Amino acid sequence: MDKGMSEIVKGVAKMVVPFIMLFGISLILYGHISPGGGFSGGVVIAGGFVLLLLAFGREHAFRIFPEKFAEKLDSLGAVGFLSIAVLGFTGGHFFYNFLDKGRLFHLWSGGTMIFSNIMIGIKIGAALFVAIAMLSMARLIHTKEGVEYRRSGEDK
Amino acid sequence: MIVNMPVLVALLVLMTAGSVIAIAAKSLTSSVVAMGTAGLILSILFLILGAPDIAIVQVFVEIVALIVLLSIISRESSADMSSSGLYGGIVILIFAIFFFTFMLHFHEMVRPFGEPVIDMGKGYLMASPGQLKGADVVNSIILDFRGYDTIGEATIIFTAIIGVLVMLRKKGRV
Repeated sequence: MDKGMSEIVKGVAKMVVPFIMLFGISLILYGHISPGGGFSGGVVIAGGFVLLLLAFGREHAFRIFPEKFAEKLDSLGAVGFLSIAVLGFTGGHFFYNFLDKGRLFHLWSGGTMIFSNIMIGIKIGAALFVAIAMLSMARLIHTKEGVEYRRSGEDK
Repeated sequence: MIVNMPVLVALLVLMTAGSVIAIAAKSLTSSVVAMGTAGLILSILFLILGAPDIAIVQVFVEIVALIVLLSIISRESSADMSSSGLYGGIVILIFAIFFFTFMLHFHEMVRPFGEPVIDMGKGYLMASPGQLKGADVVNSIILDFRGYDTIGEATIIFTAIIGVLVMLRKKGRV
């Protein structure tokens, strides 16, 4: 069966999604020298996956980015950010910027900021995508007894 | 900062109109679309007022929120809007009167725009390119000087996602 939206939407999504992903990655990686950062980059990447989800249907989006993997990435981002904070104890205190600061306006500048940005980006991207995918699965069915919850695909 | 005043006023008027339409519209779909207008104009305002970081976040969060709200509305066809009635109108009127009297004297209470009460920002502005070598001051603040706050935000999002997963999981629902 043909899932998702029409051919036009699918074609445009196919062309646009790589650029959205690239934009998100560049926002994350250059967050410490230009406007952007982990949160905005993560939201952009999640938006790209949501576009895939809307255009091609749920099965295709989950084949590219499985739900379980997204949950693991969410946890990995949280733990990674926290461990960067805890690693600050090597230099003295919590959240101490223990790495070499580098040179201003270079990619390597700001010490731990680039790693924090990457971790937050992974976390936000996976988390928002999984939340929207779960919400897209949810289906409330109104019966006589009340409202019944059901995941789509189990409708019989 | 030099801001083009007519453009600013026009955007503010459009945003207010979007918010009013979002409240007053009969159908949920048009109300959500009007709310999206308000949010997108807010992101343009952020850009004009010199906050590109927040503008990027605002654009994409607004779009994602719009998708979520529209998908919920298209599923929940039985949801309809009930009018708030006389009581709601009176409450809104009283609130509006208080709000406008407050805003009339607001400018006497606060310091002018750009001169904050707490001068901590100047220290951050100097230390961010100086000590930390971070060119983007906003990112330096949220990831280094104010890292605790960012950990709090990350925890909130993590908890929210766990909540969504627990509420919408497939099995073991009591």
